Amino acid sequence: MKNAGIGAETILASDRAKNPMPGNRSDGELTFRCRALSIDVGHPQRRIIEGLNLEVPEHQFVCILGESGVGKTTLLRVFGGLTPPAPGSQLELNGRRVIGPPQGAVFVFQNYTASLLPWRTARRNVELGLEASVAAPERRARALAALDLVGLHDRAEDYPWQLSGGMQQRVQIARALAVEPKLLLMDEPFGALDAMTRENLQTELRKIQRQLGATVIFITHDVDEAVFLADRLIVLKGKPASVGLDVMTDLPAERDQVTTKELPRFLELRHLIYQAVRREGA
Amino acid sequence: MNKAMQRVNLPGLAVIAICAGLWELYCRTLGSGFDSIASTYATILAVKDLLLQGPLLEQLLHTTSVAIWAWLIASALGFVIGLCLGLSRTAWTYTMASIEVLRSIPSISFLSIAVLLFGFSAKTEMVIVVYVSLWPMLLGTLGGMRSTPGGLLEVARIFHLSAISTFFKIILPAALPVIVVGLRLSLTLSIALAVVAEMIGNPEGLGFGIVSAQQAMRPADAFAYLLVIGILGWGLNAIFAMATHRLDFAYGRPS
Repeated sequence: MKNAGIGAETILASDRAKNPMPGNRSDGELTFRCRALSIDVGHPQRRIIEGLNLEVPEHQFVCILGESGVGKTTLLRVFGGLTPPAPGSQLELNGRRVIGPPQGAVFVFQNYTASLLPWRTARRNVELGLEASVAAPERRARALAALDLVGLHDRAEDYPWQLSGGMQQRVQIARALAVEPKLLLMDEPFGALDAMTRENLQTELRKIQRQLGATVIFITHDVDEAVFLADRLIVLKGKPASVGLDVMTDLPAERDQVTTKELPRFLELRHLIYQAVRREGA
Repeated sequence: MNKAMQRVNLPGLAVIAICAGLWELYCRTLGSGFDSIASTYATILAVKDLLLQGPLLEQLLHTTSVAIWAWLIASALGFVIGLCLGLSRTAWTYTMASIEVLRSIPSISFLSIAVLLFGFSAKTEMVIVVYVSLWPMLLGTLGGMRSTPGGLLEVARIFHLSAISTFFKIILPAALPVIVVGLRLSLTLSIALAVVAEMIGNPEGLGFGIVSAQQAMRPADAFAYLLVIGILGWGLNAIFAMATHRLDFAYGRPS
């Protein structure tokens, strides 16, 4: 905590200029904001996150990094209203307090096998989030469009067990996209996939996010993945943890697995993040 | 046609045929001195005689209809009770102890009580069969309801499913495989218990037939009844398996 590093502080300051933190009810449609957020887990209770302040404006792609066990997943679950934060924490989306899963936000779980309905085909899984609000023919069309977006239109009538792991995760992403979320919360969605599938999905996700203009908060422990995807990188540090590093990537909006990763800025960020994560480990 | 042929388990059938042949051989050679056994051939002959001249067909229909009706009633009751106990924490708290006690009493011992209450009658048979085959269904439904994967419940929350939608779209379908296992166990039990109840509590059906054959010292008839009971159980299970085949596919257990 004390050794947050001068580099990080300066970046934070320059960052603040770009994204004014408190007080400024920004112009955008969607602002995700938390102040003095603390999280307790377990019995007896142990504080894993303390005093975390964060504001995410609309359309931003934020990657949150940190050592395993630092509380990334729990933090995202709190963001998604699945787990309550400690008393006194402030957490709001568009000025509304988050108490349960908020409207307009969708969560994508790391464990796709546990979150797809095994008795429904890919298309029917994608339709789940639309059933309360959209009539059958349109629902079907939207589900197929979402599957198309992740390149699975020809597997729409397959059951999850007939699909590979990467395809199942894409079904889960399609299900999230079908409800046209303003905010996508993704918990290491590519963690269990092989390198090839993973890189393809990264490229697709970045493209889709730009098309839909969704705000994304993405958890990962893979530094390359984070730098490649993000507009803004956040490293959680300390015990209990809070924001240790908060930096804009300033990479071109259009990303490519080969050329983006050769940019000096990419390498610089990679270096910076590795240092930040490692220092925390030491 | 080809597909139907593929489904026939030829090696399995061959084993049965060989066993039947060996039994025939044994009865004609080493076992020819025993009066109390019947050869394969004699058994099949007895089935034919009982079917054409004896009461077998009527008995078979009786046992089959009792088993199926009792199974349907027990399944419906078990499902509803299991559902209530699965949905209401209070109901579960109040009844759990009673269920544990009742369940651990061998159900067959209730047969004497049923005879005391209803006499040697079809009512006795029905009550016992329903009571016994109620349990697998009740416990299956209850277990299924209480073991919805947490991940799926979170999916329901993420997409703001109402309580009713969560029940019909998540909890019930997730419980279905366990419920189907309950249904199948109930079916097996209801056939077995129908026969037992007929042997002791109701002088009708296949169970009564096998007891009469035994008392009349007619081993071929007794063996014939055994064979018919075996075929009945196998047949009903096969129909059930066929009916749930599509479900197995949807739930990712291709056969």
